Amino acid sequence: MTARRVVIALCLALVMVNSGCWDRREIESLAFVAAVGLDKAEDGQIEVSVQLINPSALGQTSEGNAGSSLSVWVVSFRGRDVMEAVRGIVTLTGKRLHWAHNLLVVFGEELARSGIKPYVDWFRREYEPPLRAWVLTTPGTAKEIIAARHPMVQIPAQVIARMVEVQASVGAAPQVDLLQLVQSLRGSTGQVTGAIRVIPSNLPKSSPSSENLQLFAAAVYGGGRLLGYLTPIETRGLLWLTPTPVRPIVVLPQGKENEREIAVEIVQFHARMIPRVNDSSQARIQVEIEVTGNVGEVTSNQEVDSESILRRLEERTAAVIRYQAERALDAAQNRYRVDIFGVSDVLRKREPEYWTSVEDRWNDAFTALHFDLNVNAKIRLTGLITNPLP
Amino acid sequence: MNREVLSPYQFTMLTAITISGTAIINLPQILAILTGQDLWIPLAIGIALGVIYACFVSSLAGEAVETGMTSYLIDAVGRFFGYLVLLVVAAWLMFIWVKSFRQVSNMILTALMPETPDWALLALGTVTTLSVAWYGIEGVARTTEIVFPTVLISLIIILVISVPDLDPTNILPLFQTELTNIFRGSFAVMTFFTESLVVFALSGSIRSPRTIRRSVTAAVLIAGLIIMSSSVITLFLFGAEDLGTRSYPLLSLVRYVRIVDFIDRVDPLIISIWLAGVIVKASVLLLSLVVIVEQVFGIQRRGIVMIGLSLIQAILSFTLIQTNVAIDKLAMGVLPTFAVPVVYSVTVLVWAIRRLRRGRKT
Repeated sequence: MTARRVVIALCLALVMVNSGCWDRREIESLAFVAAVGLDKAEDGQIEVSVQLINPSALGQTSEGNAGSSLSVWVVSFRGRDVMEAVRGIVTLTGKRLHWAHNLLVVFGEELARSGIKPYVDWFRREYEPPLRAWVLTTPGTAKEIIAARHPMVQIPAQVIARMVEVQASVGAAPQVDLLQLVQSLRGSTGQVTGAIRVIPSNLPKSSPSSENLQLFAAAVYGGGRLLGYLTPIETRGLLWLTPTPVRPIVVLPQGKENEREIAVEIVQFHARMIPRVNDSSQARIQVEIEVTGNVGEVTSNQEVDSESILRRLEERTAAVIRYQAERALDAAQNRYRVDIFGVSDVLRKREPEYWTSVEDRWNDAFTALHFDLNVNAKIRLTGLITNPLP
Repeated sequence: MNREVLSPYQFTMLTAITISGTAIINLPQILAILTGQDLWIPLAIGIALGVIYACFVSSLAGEAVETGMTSYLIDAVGRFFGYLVLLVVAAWLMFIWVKSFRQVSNMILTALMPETPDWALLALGTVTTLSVAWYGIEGVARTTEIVFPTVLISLIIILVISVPDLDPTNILPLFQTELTNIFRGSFAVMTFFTESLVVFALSGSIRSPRTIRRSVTAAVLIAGLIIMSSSVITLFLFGAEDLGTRSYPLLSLVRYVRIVDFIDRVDPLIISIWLAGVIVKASVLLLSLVVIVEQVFGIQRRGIVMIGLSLIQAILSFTLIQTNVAIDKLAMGVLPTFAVPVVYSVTVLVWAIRRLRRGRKT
C-alpha cells in the first residue's frame, strides 16, 4: 500500500509539473516574424530589422485596405551580435519573437561586404528559425526590403518568398536557403545568394506601396564577404552550371539585326560536372548540360514546323546556353576569382588526391581551371500552333 | 516472479525500440566526427557485430527461460562470477538509462522547452516511465504495439519527404578514413546493440522460448536498419562536415523538411512520437533491472524496487552527466574503448564457459 501511495504522490507531482509548464507561450504573447534583415549600423553594431505579422489586421481584406492596414510591423534594434539585437526587440514589442515561420533573411550590402559568416551562427544554433528561409542580398539596406509594402498582399515577406520560388521559370536569381548558404560557407568555395532591390513603382506616391521589389541577379561572395553582383546574363550562366530547380527561358535572336526573337521555354534541365585529372596532375572540368524545351514564342517570321528547323533551333539554344555559361565562368574566374559553382565540392568528392594538392591555393587553381562545356538541347513541342502569322 | 507473457512480435518490437530509441538522436553526429562521409562503414561493421552479439545474448536468454537469469549465471560461471556478471549487466543497463534520459532531456531543453529546469524534465520522464512500467512488461509491450509502428511510420515519412533535398554524392570520396577511426566508430555503433541484454533479463516473459533467437535477430536487424537509414539520410542532407557539428542531426533534418506547401514544420509531432519511444525504452530498462534486483536479493515487492531504481536513476541523471559535450566524449571515448569491449567480452565468455561446462558434463 505504501508503494501505491508513493506512486500516487509521484503522479500528482507529475500533474503539477505538467500544468506548471515553465515554457508555456500564449499566442497573444508572441510576435510572429515573417522576415528578418541584417544591416551594419553606423556605430559598428549590427541592426536587426524584423517584419512582424499583426494577426488582428489580417482579416481586414475589404477593398482598398489590403496592404494599407498595419498587417505587418517593422521593428529594428541594434546590438553587438544578432542575439543581442533580437532579444532587444522585445523591449519595443512587449512580445516574444516567434521565428518558426520566418521566410526570409536579407543581408544589407554594407554588412555583406564586411562578412556574413559571424551572423549566420545564431540562425543555425537557435532552434526556432527555419533553415528553409530564403537568403537574399540587397545593394541598399536590408531594412528597406523588410519595410517595403506590396499592393496586393498583406504580408510582404510572403510575396518575396513567392518571388524567389516562382522566378524559377525566368532565371532571374538563384534560389539559396539558409542551409545551402551555411554549407557553402563551410567549404573554400565562394557563395551566391539571390539579389533583391527596391525600384520605383508606378503607383501614386501617397500609396503605401509606392516602391516595388525586384529580384534582379545573383550576389557573389568570397569567404563570406560580398564581392559584387552578376549581370542577368551571368546569373543565367550560373544557373546553367549548378544543380538548381531554376529553369531560365532562352531567347534566340533572329534576323540580321537580331530584332525578332524566338523564346524557348526550358522544361527539363540537368547539369553535372565531371572532373578529369591527367597524369601531370592538371585538372579539367567537363560540364554536361542537358536541356529540354518547348517553343514558347516566335516574334520573327521563322517557321517551326519541320524537324530540321527544330534541330537548328536546338543548336542555337545550346549556343546561347554555352555563351551564358561562359560569361558566368569568366565573371567567376577573372572578375571575382572565387568558385561559385561548387567545383571544389565536386573535386573533393571525385578527385580527393587532386583536391588535397590544390586545397590550400584553391582560388588560384580555380582561376586557371579549364572548363569543357557540352550543351545538349532538345526542343520537343511548339505550343498550340506551329508557324507564326506570315 | 509473475510470469508475464509476450508474443514473439511484441518481444521483437520491444527489443528493436530499446536498441534504436536513442541511437538515432546523436549517433550520426558521432560517426560523422569520427569517420566523416565513410560513416556507413562503421555502421555496417557495428550492425553486423551487433547481430552476432545478439545471437550470443539470445542463446543465453533461451537457456535462462526456466531458471531465470541469476540462477542461470550462477550455474554457468559460479556464484562469485555469476554475481559479478549480474553487477556488470545491472550497472550497464542503469548507465544506459541514465545516459538516455540526460540525452533526451537535453534535446527537449534545446528544441522545445529551454526555460524548464532540467530536474523537472528528468523527474517528469522518471515518473512517466514508472507509471508505464508499473503494470509490468505486458503493459509496456501493449504500449509498444502502438508506439513502435508510429515511430517507424514517422521515420519512413521523413525519409520520403526529404528525398528531393538529399544529395547522395555526400558519401564521396569513399574509404578516406583511418582504420583506427573506423574501429572507434564501429564500437560506438556496437554500444547500442549491447542493449539487447534486456532480452537476457526479460527472457522469462516470452511466451515461446524457442522463438527468442528469431525475435532478437529480427529486432536487431530492424534497429540496425533504423540506425543506418537515419544516419545515411542525415549525411545525404547535411554532408559530413556539417553533420559533425549538429548535436541532433535527425531533429535538424526533421526541422528542415516540410510536407507540401502548407505543413511547414513537422518536428513537434515527430518529437512527441520519439519521446514515446524513449519512454518505452526506459520502461524496458527499468523492468530488466527490476528482474535482476528481484532475483539477486529475493525481493518480492516489485513496487518498492521500481521506485528505488527510479530514484537512483533520477539522481544519477541529474548529477552524473550534464552537458552534450560530456555525452559526446563518452560516446566517442570511454564507451567504445572500455565499456563495449567489457560488455561484449563478458557475454561471450559466459556463453563459452557454459558451453565448455556442458560439454564436460556430457
